[in-house]
Amino acid sequence: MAAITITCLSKTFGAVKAVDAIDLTILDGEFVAILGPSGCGKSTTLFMLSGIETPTGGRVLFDGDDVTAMEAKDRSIGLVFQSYALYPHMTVRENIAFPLDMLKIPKTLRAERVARAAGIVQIGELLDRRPHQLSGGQQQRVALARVLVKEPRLLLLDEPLSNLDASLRHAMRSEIRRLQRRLGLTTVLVTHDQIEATTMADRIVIMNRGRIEQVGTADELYRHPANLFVAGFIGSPAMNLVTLKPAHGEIRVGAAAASLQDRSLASVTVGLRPEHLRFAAEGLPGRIALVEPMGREVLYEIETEIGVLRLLDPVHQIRHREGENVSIAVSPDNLLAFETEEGRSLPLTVHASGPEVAKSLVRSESLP
Amino acid sequence: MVRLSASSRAIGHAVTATLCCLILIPMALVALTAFKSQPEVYSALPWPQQPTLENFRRLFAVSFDVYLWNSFATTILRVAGQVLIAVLAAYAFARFEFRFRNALFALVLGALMIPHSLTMIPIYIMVVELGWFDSWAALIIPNLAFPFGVFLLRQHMMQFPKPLIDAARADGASHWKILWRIIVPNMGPAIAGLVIVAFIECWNEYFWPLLVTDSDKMRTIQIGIRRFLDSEGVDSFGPLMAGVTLASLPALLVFFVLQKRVMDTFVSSGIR
Ligand SMILES: Nc1ncnc2c1ncn2[C@@H]1O[C@H](COP(=O)(O)OP(=O)(O)OP(=O)(O)O)[C@@H](O)[C@H]1O
Ligand SMILES: [Mg+2]
Repeated sequence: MAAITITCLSKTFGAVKAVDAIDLTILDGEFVAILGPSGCGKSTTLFMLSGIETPTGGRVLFDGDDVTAMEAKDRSIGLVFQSYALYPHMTVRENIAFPLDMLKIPKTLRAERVARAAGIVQIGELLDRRPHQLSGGQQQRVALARVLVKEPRLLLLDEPLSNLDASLRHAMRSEIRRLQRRLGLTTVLVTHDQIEATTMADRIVIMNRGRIEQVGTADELYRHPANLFVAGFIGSPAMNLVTLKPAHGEIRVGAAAASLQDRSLASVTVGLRPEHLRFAAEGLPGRIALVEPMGREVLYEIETEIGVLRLLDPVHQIRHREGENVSIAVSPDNLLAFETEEGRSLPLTVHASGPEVAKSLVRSESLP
Repeated sequence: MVRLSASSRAIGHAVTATLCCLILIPMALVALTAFKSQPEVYSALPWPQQPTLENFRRLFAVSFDVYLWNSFATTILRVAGQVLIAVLAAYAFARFEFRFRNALFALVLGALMIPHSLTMIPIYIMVVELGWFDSWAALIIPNLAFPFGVFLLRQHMMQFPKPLIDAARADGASHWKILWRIIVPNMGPAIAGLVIVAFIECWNEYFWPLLVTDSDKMRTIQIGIRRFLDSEGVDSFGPLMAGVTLASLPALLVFFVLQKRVMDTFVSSGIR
């Protein structure tokens, strides 16, 4: 197990800055997810941790030791690829034993360790098959067993679940998580699926264009996004972002109001999560433009004077029809503000949480 | 797949059938004549009326077994060496970054274009000066570098899935282990193709062994067969045909054993 520190880590491919001077510390035994859109440099970061790619700048420390120049084979890491990369000419048993063979572990000890690793991921009965005779989920387990067998200091997972169907992905998510806890393995998971990141990781690193936008727990990222990118990226359906002109340093959405510290700002971007908006007797007036039933909830698109807002209604019946006039309320505690240009988050002070807002919320919720 | 009309398919079949016959009929005649008794050799009947092994007996009476052994041993050693060197060179060209890599690879490709006959005399002189004249070394060593093999295997290694190689690196494998434990076992078809090409080229070689060997105990089969053409006159046609038949068997055998894999190789690398 290892704690990991990376400082000013960079990788350029020709003119492309795949990873641009990132700093990050991962604690011993921690499960960290790197989350970001396609091409943002997640895999490249992971491959630099593994030693597969050589950084063009910066350093990687494992437990305080500089391993930047160390080859992958000497780093004692376990790396699982999106494609699993099982050796097609070897049986499952030979695949799992391969890292032990490379470590020159005596044959007599190998069988036992292979059996133990196979037991952990429950593939004991598949040991004599070849990779092409396995299902996606089974291949994924073999790939995990192959890295667990050598008891790595660091487990690196590059989108390991993206080839699985939804239910299997769900099962494997918790399985990997349980395994990681039990073995206390320091783990870095690369994914572009925020559910995967939030359900599995202790902390999430949000990357965008080779840079780290924010590091935090799922809750921190959800409640206090550091900037517009994180605000728009975390949460589903995505956050409503509308540009408002503050009056005397105060922003107002319907009855909810909050003050900015900087009273001189001419324009701010306000973030409103669809799940925080509610239909109310009074509030911001609007007209339903689109109704999207999502099963358990209904998503409404509503035209208002500040722009089109999406509202996620927890009541699964369709309560409002397209073209209907409605009022929307939001609790001022749920308002977020960002610099319109730079995108940085702005602190808000909530006041005048008008009692009528609270009342109208209660009333709307008590509807059938 | 391109769908062909019935008529063009029929024409295609007719053409290939004709070509096959043109090649197969002489081969069949050779093989059948090998089993004819001496008086029958010039008869109009293509097949023997009293099949006999007499021709083969006469063949082995004149140290044909020595030629056969020389051919077999030198071909196997040479092909093994060629494949080994091609695998190693291909890995270096495909996976290492080093100065002048592309220039060196261009040289390898250039070597493919130089006709053999041009380099034969200088190499012959070197062989003589090294004291290898009339030895297996002369038959094997000057041919070990095999540019076509380097080229073919490099193309295949460049296409080898990178995640497999990266997984092996993460699993603790060195370059040597990656090459022999991961890449080579998955390059069966390419290597099989290479073995066929190298085997046939070496087995059928005539001029080079003629040049660098002298004594009867160093001659290879292709030269050995010639003896029946040059010296012994009319009645040597039977043994000659027997020799040709025997000489073509190994190449055919290698081809049939490995052909399924080889077709995959040439199709997938686009050299058909
Ligand atoms: N070997 C390479 N040569 C050139 N450019 C590369 C190479 N590998 C990655 N890149 C570039 O670096 C950037 C980051 O790539 P990376 O694979 O890390 O993205 P990613 O976040 O893993 O994306 P995805 O979610 O699609 O896997 C991309 O713009 C990519 O095109
Ligand atoms: Mg990736």
